[in-house]
Parts: sequence; C-alpha cells; structure tokens
Amino acid sequence: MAQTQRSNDQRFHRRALESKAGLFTIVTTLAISVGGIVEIVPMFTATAGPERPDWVSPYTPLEVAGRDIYVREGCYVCHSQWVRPMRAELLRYGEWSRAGEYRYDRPFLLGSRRIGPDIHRVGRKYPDAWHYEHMRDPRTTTPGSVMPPYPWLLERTIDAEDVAASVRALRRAGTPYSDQDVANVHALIGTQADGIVQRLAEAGIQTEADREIVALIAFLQRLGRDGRRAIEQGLTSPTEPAR
Amino acid sequence: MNPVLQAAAESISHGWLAGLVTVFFVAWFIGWTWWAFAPKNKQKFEKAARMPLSDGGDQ
Amino acid sequence: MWGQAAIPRPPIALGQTPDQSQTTNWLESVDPMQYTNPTKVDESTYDDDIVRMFFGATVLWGVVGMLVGVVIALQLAWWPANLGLPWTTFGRLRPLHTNAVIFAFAGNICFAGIYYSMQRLLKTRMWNDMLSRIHFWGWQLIIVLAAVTLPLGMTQSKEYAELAWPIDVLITVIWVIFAVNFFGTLATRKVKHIYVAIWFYISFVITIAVLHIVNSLAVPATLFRSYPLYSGMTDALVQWWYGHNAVGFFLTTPFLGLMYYYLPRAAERPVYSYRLSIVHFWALVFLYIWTGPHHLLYSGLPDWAQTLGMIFSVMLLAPSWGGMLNGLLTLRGAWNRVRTDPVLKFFVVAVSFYGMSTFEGPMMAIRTVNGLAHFTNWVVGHVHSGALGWVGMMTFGTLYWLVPRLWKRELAYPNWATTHFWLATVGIVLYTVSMWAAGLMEGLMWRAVNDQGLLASPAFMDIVNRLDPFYWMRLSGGALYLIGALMMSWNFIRTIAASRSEVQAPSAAPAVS
Repeated sequence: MAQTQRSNDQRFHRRALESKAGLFTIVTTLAISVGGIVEIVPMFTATAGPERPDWVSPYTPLEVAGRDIYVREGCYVCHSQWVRPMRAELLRYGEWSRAGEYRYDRPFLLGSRRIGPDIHRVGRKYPDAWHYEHMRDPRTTTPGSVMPPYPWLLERTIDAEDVAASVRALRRAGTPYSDQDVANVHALIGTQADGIVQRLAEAGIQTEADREIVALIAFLQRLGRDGRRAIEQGLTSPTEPAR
Repeated sequence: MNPVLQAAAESISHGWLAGLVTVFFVAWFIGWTWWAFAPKNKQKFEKAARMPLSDGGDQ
Repeated sequence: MWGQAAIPRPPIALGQTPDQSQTTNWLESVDPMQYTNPTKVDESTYDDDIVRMFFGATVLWGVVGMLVGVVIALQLAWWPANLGLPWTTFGRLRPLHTNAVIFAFAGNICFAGIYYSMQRLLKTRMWNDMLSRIHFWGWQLIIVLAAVTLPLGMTQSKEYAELAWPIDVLITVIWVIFAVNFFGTLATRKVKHIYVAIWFYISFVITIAVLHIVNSLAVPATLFRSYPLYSGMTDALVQWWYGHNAVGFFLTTPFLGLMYYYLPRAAERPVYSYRLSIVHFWALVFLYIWTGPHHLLYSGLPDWAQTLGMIFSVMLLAPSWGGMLNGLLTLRGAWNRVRTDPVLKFFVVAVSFYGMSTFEGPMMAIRTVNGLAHFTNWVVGHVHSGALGWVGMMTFGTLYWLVPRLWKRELAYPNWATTHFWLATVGIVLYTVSMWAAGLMEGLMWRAVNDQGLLASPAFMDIVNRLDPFYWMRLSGGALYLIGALMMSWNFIRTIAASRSEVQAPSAAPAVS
C-alpha cells in the first residue's frame, strides 16, 4: 500500500513539474509566433500585401537557366537587385524598383551588400558582348574591378531537361507557366539563345547556343525591363518616393 | 498638419484595433513586470538566482 | 507517513501570518528527490562525454569557419585570391563562412553549454544518451554536407538558409531529436524551479524549429535544387523574418542562456537581478520576432511592414540592454577578479560587445540611418562586433571555463588564455573600426550629389577602389582573431593530451589561474 501511495505522490509531482515546463514552453511558443503572424499573414492579402501587377511576366526558360547560374555562382552576395527610392539612386541606377517587379522572383534576389553595383536596371544597358567579356575577365570591361573571373561559364553547357525540371518546379510553386511553356522548353530556349549567339557573332564572338554564358546573358538582359516599361507607360502605382 | 503625417494618418485602417492591441500588450507588460518585482516573490527569486552556484557539482 | 510528504500548499496564503512551521521553503519542499536520494548529486550521474564531443566540434569548426572568413576577406582586398576555381570564388565561400561560424561554431558551443549546464541545473542526466549522440553525429554530418555542397554551388541563396533542401530535411530531423531529448530531460528533472538560462534554451529550441521549417518550405526541382513556396517581396520578408531571428535565437538567446549560467559560475556570485531577467526575457523573445523588416527598408515591402520592423527594432534596445546590465552588474564587487581571470575577461568584453552591437542595431534600423548604412561595409562592422565580440568571446570564455572541469586538468599554457584575449580584442577593434570607416565612406559617396544636382562620384569603381586600405585593415583584424583561436586550439589539444596520458585519479577541479 505504501509503495502505491509513494508512486501516486511522485506521479502527482511529476505532473506538477511537467505542467510548469510545458506551460512555459507553450507561452514561449505563443510569444514568438505573434510577430511572425502579424507581419507575414497580411502579405498574402491583396490590400496589405505587395502589389501583384499583370504588367510583369515570368522569366523565360532560358532566363530561368541563367537565374539558376546566377544563384549557383553567388552573384547575389555582391550585387543587389534593388534600386531604392532615393535621389542619388535614381541618378546612379534609374527608376526605383517597384514591389510588383519581383512578383515571379522565386527565390527573391534583392541582395544585402553592394560590393558590386546594383544591377536591377542593367537589362539592355550593355550589349551582350560586354557581358560576355565581363564574365570572361571583369577587368577588360571594368578596370580596377575586384570581381573574380568566371571563364568556365563560357565552356559549360546547360541541359534543356534540367531547365524543364526547373520550370516544372517553379510552376508547382506557383509561377503561372502554361502547359505549352513546359512542353516545349527546348524550343523556347533555342530561339532565345540563337538571338544572343547571333548578336555575339556580330560583335565578333563565336560561341554555342547551349553555353551557360548565353543563358546568364539572357537573364541579365531581362533585369528590370518589365518594370521600366510599366513605369514609362504609367502603369505602376503613382506613389512618389517620399524621400 | 504636415502633409506626410496627414497622408500616413489617413492611410491607417483598423487604427482602433492597433490601439486596443497596444493597450493590451502594455498592460500585460506592466502586469508581469509588477509580478516579477512584487515583494512577495523577492525571496523566491533570490534563491533561484543562486541555483547555478548551489548545484554542488564541483564546488 | 503519507501526510508528511504532503502536497505543497502555496508558501504563504495572502493575509495569513507566516508561521515558521507552516512556511515550507518553496524550493526544497517540492523537491521530489527527498524521496530517493540526497540533494548533493555526484558528477558521475551527468553525461559529460557528450559535452566533450560538442566541445571538440566547437573548436574544430570555429577554426575552419574563421579561416574561411580570413580567406574571403583577402579575396575582397586582392581578387586573385579567388584562385580562378569555381569552388573557391567569394560568391560560394561567403555562404560557407556564415554557415560554418553560425551553425557549426556557435551551434556546437550552444549544445556543449546546454548539455553541461542543463544537467546540473536540473540535477538530472540527459533524458537519453543515444539521442544525445544522434544529435551530435547528425549535426556534424550536416556541417560536412554543407562544407561539400556550398563550394559546389548547391545553394538556395537565402542567407543563413542556403543549404540544399535534402540537408534542410536532415536539419529538421536532427533538431526534433535534440528537442525530444531536451524536453525529456526537462520533464524528468529533479529540481522544480527552471533557472533563467533554461528559459533561453527553451526559446532557442522552439523558435529555431519554427523559423527553419517555415523558411525552408520549397518545391524540389532536382535532388539539389528547389524553389521557395513564396516569391518576390513575400519571400524577402519570410527570409528576413527568419534571417534576423536566426541572429536573435541562434546567436543571442542561447548565448544569454550561457551568460546566465557560466558568468555566475565563473564569478562565483549570483546574477545581479533574477527579477530583471524575467522581464527582459519575455520582452526580448516577444520583440525580436518583429524586427525582420529592417533588412528591407526602402524596398518594395509595404510601408506598414517596414515601419513595424523599424519600431520594434528600436524597442528591442531595452531588453537587450537589460541582459547586458544583468551580466555586467553580476560582477559588482568582484571586478578585481577580472584582472586575473581570463574567463571573466572574455565574459566581460563579450557582454560589453553585446551591449554595443545591440545599441548599434536599433540605430541602424531607423529608416533614414538605414538609408545610409544599408548595403555598405558598416553592416559588416555591426555584424562582426556582435559575432566576434559577443558570440566569439562568450564561446571562448565558456570553453576556457569548461576545460579544467571536463578534463580535470590545468591549461597546458595558462597565460596563453590572456594572450588570446588581447589578440581577440584588438582583432575585433581593427575589424569593426575599418568596416565602420569603409561603410560610412561608401554610403556617403554613393549618395553625394554636387550643386549641379549630379552625382559627385558617378563611377562606382572609384568608390570600390578606395576601399582597399580598409579591406586590408579588416583582414589584419580577422587574422589576429584567427591566430588567437589557433593558440586556444593548440592549448586545448596539449591540455587534453596531457590529461589522457595521466593515470591517477584526477584531483579536485583546479580553478583556472
């Protein structure tokens, strides 16, 4: 009898002890979830969330391949894609980056350091040949640059099947690619890449359509163009930069 | 009134909710701070503060 | 008989005059251990082997992480240091540096510090030794996988969450195992009161799980590539809600937990105000979560979110300094001991750097200040005054304090600890000051407009080239810091080797001279 009495006591004590630790953990979990919920949940609403305009369209398969290379090489570690609404940045980089421009940026690549300049308005600012040379050896186009050379981008090739896997995954994640887009990724890559190869040839650079540099150029030349066009056509939200 | 502040004031929706939540959290903060510093708990917490020293591990 | 072990009533009911026989001491009365064994628990009940394992991993990965840091610092000052190989360019090594020093260096010391202090505070062995080992080996596997995949360019690009999705899954599994073992120990503890350090450990275990899972939600494209569920500004907000709270709950709360245990143990005095720790714990844990958007000021993030991030970051100054004051004031009346004890030197400077960087942070989170500081080297200075100052020196202090207790031996080179301290302190100052100078110069030159309304320095390269002297100065600071860590490692290796070669029973743990 005494034995069961003691185990009852210990069981009671155990519950009293556990409940205090359990209660503490629950209250901590509540405390740490308030901030996250209040800031993240409204982002999914139309009113409080970022603008989701229709003047921006998803990246083409070749640009997706170029973006994957951009991520792989860690370009975002030194380059931001985020022109801030400040006078000096408008003068240096161009129109400040609207929220809607990033709609299909998956993952986002705003960047947090400017070891190199911001590149959100670099689309069609320099010819394809400039980018080709810049990647091969940054100091040829930009004397004094601290950027490492990326000569392997000129040799390595992209695999259309791999790009198709990316496009399928992006669509599953929410980017609105149509069935045609997914079906003929090969063709889409081909036509866009040929255009770049042709422009490079005019500048005296011989390369193949499946080289990684061609995909990267496609992506870099796309940066910020949807936004710039929308701003020129007055489609963007009228809020003036308050600074 | 400063136009920027004016615009900001007009843009706030559910301002009453924000006020209510703020009052709630401030009250909660004052409540638990009072509980922490209440004289009746003073002795308990001073004993708790000595826990690392009294674990007799390798004194 | 049964009556004696009565269920404890609240110590003194309101309005009732305290009567000595009735006053049951709140702490002892409910200690169920009064049934089985005495309050004095001997050392063998604790699992200190796991602490030694995490101790070794901390020292190893600390040196590796700092070495990669010095290499990438050199790469910014002298680009040929990228070696022309895909695997060694700055773009791929910078994430390796951050993952190594945060999850491998800081992570392992948190686990070592938690496993050692928690068992003693609760007078209970870890709930399950096997789970402790799975946690240890699983975590080291994650680190090795990161060291392989990051240089190969397998990254999700989100800072401090770069690892490929299969590794994210492994992190979740190992973290759950750690949490089960952690809460199992808490549930079977022999002491009722949960000391403040353990509150911080609980917030560490819980919040990191929430942050990691929510920020890692992604759709796999291939075995090593995936795309996040979120996109655009929402992805940015979720990332920086995770990013800043990885700092908050991986580099701050567990280290405050270490401070609340190891500083009183090293100073042999109770913490200054236990009641202040109650207030500042809850305020810190609640406020920290909101601060993510200060990484996105002047971005496309909706203004309401930017403003919330800014305001809560400024409010966070109060609980942060509550922690600092509680730490520093614990030494009131014992400051003379700081002159002789390297462990206290490390802790005092660590807590001071915690105060400095958590003052600098709220200031930088103010929108207009951020307009100048953002993207610049100033941010790097802020990060490293917290990382090298607070995290690094808390770690070193804890490691030096643990060595004589884990290996029952005096340091092989006792005064190297003080040398390490001065190397580290000077290293941090060189690092931080050079980055402040570089950051301010960059920020000001980027935005300088002359009276014709044109950019004063339109060529971005002109500004980049002016940074060289600061990059070299930062490199020297980082190198000093690394040399200190190497001295520490060698000191520990010799100490542990010596203790292994000894056969006779270890004497009482000698205090570190």
